[in-house]
Amino acid sequence: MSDLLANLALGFSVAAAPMNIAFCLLGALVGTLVGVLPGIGTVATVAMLLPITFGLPPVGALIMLAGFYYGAQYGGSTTSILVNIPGEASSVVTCLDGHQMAKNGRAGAALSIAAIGSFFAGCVATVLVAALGAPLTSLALLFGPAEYFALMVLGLIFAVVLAKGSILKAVAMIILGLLLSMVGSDLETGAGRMTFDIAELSDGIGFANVAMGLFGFAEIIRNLEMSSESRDIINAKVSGLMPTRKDLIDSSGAIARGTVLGSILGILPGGGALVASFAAYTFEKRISKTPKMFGHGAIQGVAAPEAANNAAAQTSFIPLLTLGIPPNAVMALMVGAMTIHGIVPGPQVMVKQPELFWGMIASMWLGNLMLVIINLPLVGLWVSLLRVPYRLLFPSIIVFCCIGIFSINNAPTDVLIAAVFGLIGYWLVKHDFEPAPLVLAFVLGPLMEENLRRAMLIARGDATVFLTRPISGVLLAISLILLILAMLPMISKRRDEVFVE
Amino acid sequence: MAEGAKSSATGGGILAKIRGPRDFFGGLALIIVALLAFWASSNLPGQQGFAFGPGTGPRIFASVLLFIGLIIAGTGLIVKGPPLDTFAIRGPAYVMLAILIFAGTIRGIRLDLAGIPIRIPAFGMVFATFVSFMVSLFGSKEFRLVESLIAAVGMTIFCVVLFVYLLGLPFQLWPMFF
Amino acid sequence: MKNIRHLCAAFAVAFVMVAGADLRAQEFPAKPVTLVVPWPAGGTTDIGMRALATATEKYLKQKIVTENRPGAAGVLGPQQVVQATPDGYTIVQIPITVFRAPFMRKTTFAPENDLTYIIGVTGYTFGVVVRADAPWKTFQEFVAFAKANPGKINYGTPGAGTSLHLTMEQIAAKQGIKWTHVPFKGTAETTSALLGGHIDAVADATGWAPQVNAGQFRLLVTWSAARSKNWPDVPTLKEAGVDLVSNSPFGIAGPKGMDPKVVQVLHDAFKKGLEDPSYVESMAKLDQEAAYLSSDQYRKFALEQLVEQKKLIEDLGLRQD
Repeated sequence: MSDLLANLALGFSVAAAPMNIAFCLLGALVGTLVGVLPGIGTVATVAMLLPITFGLPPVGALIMLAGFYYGAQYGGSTTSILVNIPGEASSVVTCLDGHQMAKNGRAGAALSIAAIGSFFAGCVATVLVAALGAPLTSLALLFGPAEYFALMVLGLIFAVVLAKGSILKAVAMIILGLLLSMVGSDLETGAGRMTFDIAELSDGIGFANVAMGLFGFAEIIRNLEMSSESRDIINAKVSGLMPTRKDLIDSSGAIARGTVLGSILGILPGGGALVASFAAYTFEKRISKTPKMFGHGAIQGVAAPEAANNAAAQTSFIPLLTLGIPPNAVMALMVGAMTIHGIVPGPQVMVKQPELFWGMIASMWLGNLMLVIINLPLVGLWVSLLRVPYRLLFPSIIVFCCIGIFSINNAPTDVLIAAVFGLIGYWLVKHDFEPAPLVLAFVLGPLMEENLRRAMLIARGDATVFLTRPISGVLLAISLILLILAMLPMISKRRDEVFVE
Repeated sequence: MAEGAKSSATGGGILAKIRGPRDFFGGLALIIVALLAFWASSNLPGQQGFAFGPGTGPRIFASVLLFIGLIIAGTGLIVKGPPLDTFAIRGPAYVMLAILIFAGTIRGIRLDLAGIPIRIPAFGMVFATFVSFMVSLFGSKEFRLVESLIAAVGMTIFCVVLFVYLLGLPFQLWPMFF
Repeated sequence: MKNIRHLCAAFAVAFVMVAGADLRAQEFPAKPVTLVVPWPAGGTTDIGMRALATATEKYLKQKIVTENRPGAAGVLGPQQVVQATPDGYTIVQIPITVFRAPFMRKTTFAPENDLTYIIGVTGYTFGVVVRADAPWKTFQEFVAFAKANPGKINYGTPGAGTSLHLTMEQIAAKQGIKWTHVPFKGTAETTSALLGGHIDAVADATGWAPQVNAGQFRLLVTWSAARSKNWPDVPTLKEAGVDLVSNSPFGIAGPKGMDPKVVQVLHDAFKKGLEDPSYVESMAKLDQEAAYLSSDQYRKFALEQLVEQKKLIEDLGLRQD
């Protein structure tokens, strides 16, 4: 324990150096900006910023990049709440209730609770990283292909429970998402699947294209057909910017539970952080006394996934710091940056460069503090953005989305694909299909299929491996129970309907 | 979502026999997508020994989708549901046009579609941003010319400063021809 | 509304007319050169190419804008550049997959005709690692075990159809081994799978370096022609008794029909960039070793590769359609 305190003291002495605070602030600021802009490729932007950091001292460079990373994570939820555009998969869940809250005139409360929830989760997760980083690593390594497959199945079940309408339609959307995710080169053989020999499709359809289309463009098209009065509810009554005392009490449990879930799942590289946010949402919906509120602006539906999201963002540093395994593309860039600085990321960092290791952990906490300092005052600004007449707001969103999508791969085709998904999204809504399960399945699909196939290869075709390996067996059992629980009300409802008929 | 309340009722004839047209046509579309997926993945090899093969996944999910589509469409035939919602034309048309223009002009397009060469020079970001902003404005019935022009110019400048100068993304600004 | 349409049409016509103006009339390079990198931003290749671009700018006396156009295992970028005007302002990194793609699936360009080869740059250091607690101390022991236990070994690579996958299968064919390929997506996944003991070995570019240096992985063999400077004790594949070299050299090319003078200017600038201390230093950190080839040598190399890759793909039965 005293070791931990001494290490943290060392960390804070590094992170609190004025220059490093400035780097942290700068990173968080640029990150927030990039995160708020819909679609703009976080990875592309980090890649552009990378050469700038080459001239900085290594600790400063990493602190700045880390700040950028949380900033982008957090900024993404702002866009989700305000204009219903998820910048990345984990904020799809924030859209569900966050944007509904904004529509009810409570954008300020939603944004603030997201900031507060994230900060709390960030603080807890940072301590966790510092205290338990090394032992938690071994947990991550227990996850092989079979376990990841089971985790992804569980994730898909969460996606079913997320739905507020028909379970059957949600399942249909999940299957559709899985099918779409299979477009592109097959991982095992390299064969092009459902690509129609179009080179642009050979790496599959990008997540941003699908999300921008189904959420961003479709939402705009749908809003345009409404009369201005019914649409401008957003502008009409914007109640207080800050959450009320009741909001805080309502969401405190959700934040705590989200933090726990996020911290645990964040450790798993490859999809863990993603599953965290909707696991938290599903959990809240299950234990809520008023599950009907979810999807219509329940504050817990914003607080829990945001807390989980941010906790996972912190603990996902564990595999990076202790193993040198980057869990996502942004972190892969950071590994690149470390390499250029002559730091070999991985097990040796903690021993050989303690000031770097602990400095970064301390800067995580500082970064979270910065985010709250930057974002709470900005809430007012964002909310006032909603007062811009919609006839001017929507073309701006379209242009931002177009530029954002284009910036990811410099590919005009990506913009076209997003446009097609905009039309699909519009059609789906008209037929009471929800896009959220589709998008989540689209992201989880490849992870699920790849790990299923890997597990089968390693087990030489023996499917019992999923049940005999304890972790995967337990995860699959939980999935089954959740699925049955979700189906029960539907079955009883169907029965009622039949009796009425 | 309560669109059902304000949607207009749709026509008679065969459609009148369908008690839940939203579900019916929704299910029908899923069936079509499933068949399309079957066709698109028909050339892929399936299970080989203990390797899954690239074609297995798409075929399994296409089958499930087909099955669910049938259930949903069937439900739509039997169970009473909300009528079809009307689809707007103006909004989607202009929004799509704006996106098409952006995609077509930002970097230019050179491709041969079924033997027909398509050549659009690269107009660059300033042009693409301004034009697609202006075009999408028409999607709303509340179009006002002067205000729109000012907004479009402002937005273009803002985007250029933000993306090209602040974030340093490698966009071409002005028209350039290859 | 109509006015705007007219205006657009007028603009379009005007621009197309201006397009006739010839930029080559001026001294090359009169404006920034776009270097297309057909990989996602931030990978080893991207970082290396950016470092090279920065080093070369000084000698080219023009900015080099790096643009990422990832897709189709590095083939999408070249495929698009092939259609650009051959004025030297659009050039592209050519990964080895360009020479492999025509034999694996339908492609829209022929690497032997549709490219102007400028310069050969560098290659990767590939190698095979196992866990430090694995029973195999040398590559020979590993191969012997695989031979004695057909179908027992699972090895991971960062993807199917990569040089890593192909070379492992070549080794298997030469040595009469049957082992199972488990494809992953990138180095992060292979590393954690091997650390967790879910697979027996990993064949990858130097993504394993941190674990090897920390003593968690044992590097059995590298696939370069000579021993790596960073791991001088580790034998090459040839030394371990398998007559193969695999390092996927890559270079830079442009669309066909480039003016030889322009090619010369680009070649000279990039050659100086390659020798620039800043680039040499980055290369050492990325464990890449320079493999300079002149324009003519690079073209010859490309033609040889096309023959070699065709045979390889056919021998291993990897053609897709």
